[in-house]
Amino acid sequence: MRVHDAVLGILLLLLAGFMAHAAAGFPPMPGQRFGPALVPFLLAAGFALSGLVLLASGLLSGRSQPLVSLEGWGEPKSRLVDVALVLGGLVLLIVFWHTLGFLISATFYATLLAGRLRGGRYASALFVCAPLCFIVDWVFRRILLVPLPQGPLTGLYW
Amino acid sequence: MTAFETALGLVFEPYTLSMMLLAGAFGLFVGAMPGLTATMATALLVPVTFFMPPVPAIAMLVTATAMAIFAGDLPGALVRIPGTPASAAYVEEAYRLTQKGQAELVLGCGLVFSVIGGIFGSLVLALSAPVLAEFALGFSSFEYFWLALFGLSCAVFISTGRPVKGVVSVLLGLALATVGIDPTAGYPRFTFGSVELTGGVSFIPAMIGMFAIAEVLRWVTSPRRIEDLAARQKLGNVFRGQWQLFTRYRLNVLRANLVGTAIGVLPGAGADIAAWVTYALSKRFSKEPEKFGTGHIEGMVDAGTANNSALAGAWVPALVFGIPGDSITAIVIGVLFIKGMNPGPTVMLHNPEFLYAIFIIFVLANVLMLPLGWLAIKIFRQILLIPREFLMPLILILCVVGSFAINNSVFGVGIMLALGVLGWLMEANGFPIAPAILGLVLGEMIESHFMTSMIKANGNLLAFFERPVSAVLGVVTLVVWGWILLAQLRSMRRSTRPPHDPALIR
Repeated sequence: MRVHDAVLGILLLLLAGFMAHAAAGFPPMPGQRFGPALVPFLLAAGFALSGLVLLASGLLSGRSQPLVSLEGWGEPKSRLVDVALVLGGLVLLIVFWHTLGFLISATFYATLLAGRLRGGRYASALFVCAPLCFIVDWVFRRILLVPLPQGPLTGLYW
Repeated sequence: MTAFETALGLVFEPYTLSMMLLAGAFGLFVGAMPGLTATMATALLVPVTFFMPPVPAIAMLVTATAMAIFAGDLPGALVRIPGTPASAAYVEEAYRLTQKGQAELVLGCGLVFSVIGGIFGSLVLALSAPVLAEFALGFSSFEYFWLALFGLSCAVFISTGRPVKGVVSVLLGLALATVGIDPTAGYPRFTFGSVELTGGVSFIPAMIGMFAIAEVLRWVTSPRRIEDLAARQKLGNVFRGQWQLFTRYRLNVLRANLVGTAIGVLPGAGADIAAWVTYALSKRFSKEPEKFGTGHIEGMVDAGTANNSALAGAWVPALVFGIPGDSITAIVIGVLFIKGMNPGPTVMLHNPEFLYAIFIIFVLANVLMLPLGWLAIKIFRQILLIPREFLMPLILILCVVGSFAINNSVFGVGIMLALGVLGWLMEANGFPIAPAILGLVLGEMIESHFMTSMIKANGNLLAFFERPVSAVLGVVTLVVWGWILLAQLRSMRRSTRPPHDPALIR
């Protein structure tokens, strides 16, 4: 997903403004002329300068580049769904992390994603993803002792 | 028992050796899969190493990265897709040689010269690190500030694409590093009331996100197609003809070793830059430059040697100054801290046996590459058959578990996701990722040394140039920034012409 340089420049200027505004509220260090705000101010200045450079080069480039383009994506609509599935799935995984537990949510997510990427073959995806997620769960929870949540399966398996 | 003998005992334990074998197989697998990088292999291994003693943990990381860099040559030679960015410099050359029916020679060359480069880099690491560490004992906050800033500047200077985008990338990394408790006054900054953010942006989830999640997203959005020349290749003895290559190109090998290791030592530059530079040098000084790009092995000998020698070179600043030489050592520094092997000039005083162990591991990992690499070449076609549609969801699941395991908190998964999207968008728009990662890693160190120096000097910036080493480092850093500024001005002058913003990266 390519964004026009001028738009990137404006985003950087906004980021610089936000950083400077937030840093202005940081208290000074007692007995010193500078404090926790110094580095954020310097970074904000850097963002502002870079933003101006990008804005200027975007405006001066003299070409009709779209503000946002999906150049090089193959079939953009289908790829957009894939991206939404990857990211949305991760968001849902975080939301239901404790409720569903790792094994159920990860199996569901991996199956859905693999099935979609394989052109809708969800049964074969489940056949492969379920044991893979089980192995990951077993290795990390049992061998490496990472406390992955088990959700409704708590106490039902080792 | 001397520290060296203790180190030998630690490395040659069956547990450490078995972990090296496992990591070697993992590294070969990741490197051989087009689109998965050595950095990703390291990031994915980090959660596993949490639960290990320091030496096996470091042994796993070193072995996996060395194998991954070599294995990146396999898909490059057989399907024209570099397995890792470090193989990209000579992928066309390798593929054309394969088309001429010389796959055996190409793959053997990749393996043998990777081993030579790796061992040379390891020796340089072993010889130079203790000397540099002793020298660095006299460093104060001024020298450390300039050194860290020099590292970041080099990362911008070396990155491909437009300089301003490299600068923005560094600034983003530094800005992320300001989140949390300020190192000088202890004031919480940019935490938005979140208790978890007071500890800062967790480094490992950030790395996993910016490299692994970004790569999965890139794969998902790219057209999927693999031209299968691999199936038609017959691979016999891959070591045949390698001695002749070595004797014919021995000067190239020496030059590639020296340049590769030097680039590795330079903070901010790693194996991929080393490969590009040595390939260009090889062509520049070749007696047959016209053959380059048509399937000529010379450039591959140079670049294949250099990318592995750079790997060990990158550990020099990481171990001696705590400043990563590349994105892989940026991850490794985090692991070293977790394991109590605080990198810096005192590592030789406090943990000499660990330092020796790292040197031994490097040599051993490169020797191990010969049999494991040979095996990987033999089974490579089977590795390619693993459907990416299953591999990518599995990688995502491993990323989630790895990010969770850092603090046993789902907040880490959120950081991984947010920075994964950021990394993906940055790459797609020509912003290199490595400077951002270095900025995040070095941010706290730079700020802490900068503020300490400012307090010492009572705000007088000239004090940053009063000590001799500090003055030299300061001037060199300013020269690099001047160069970056000039490059940007040149780039702006060209911007009126039709654009090409190469998809750069790391």
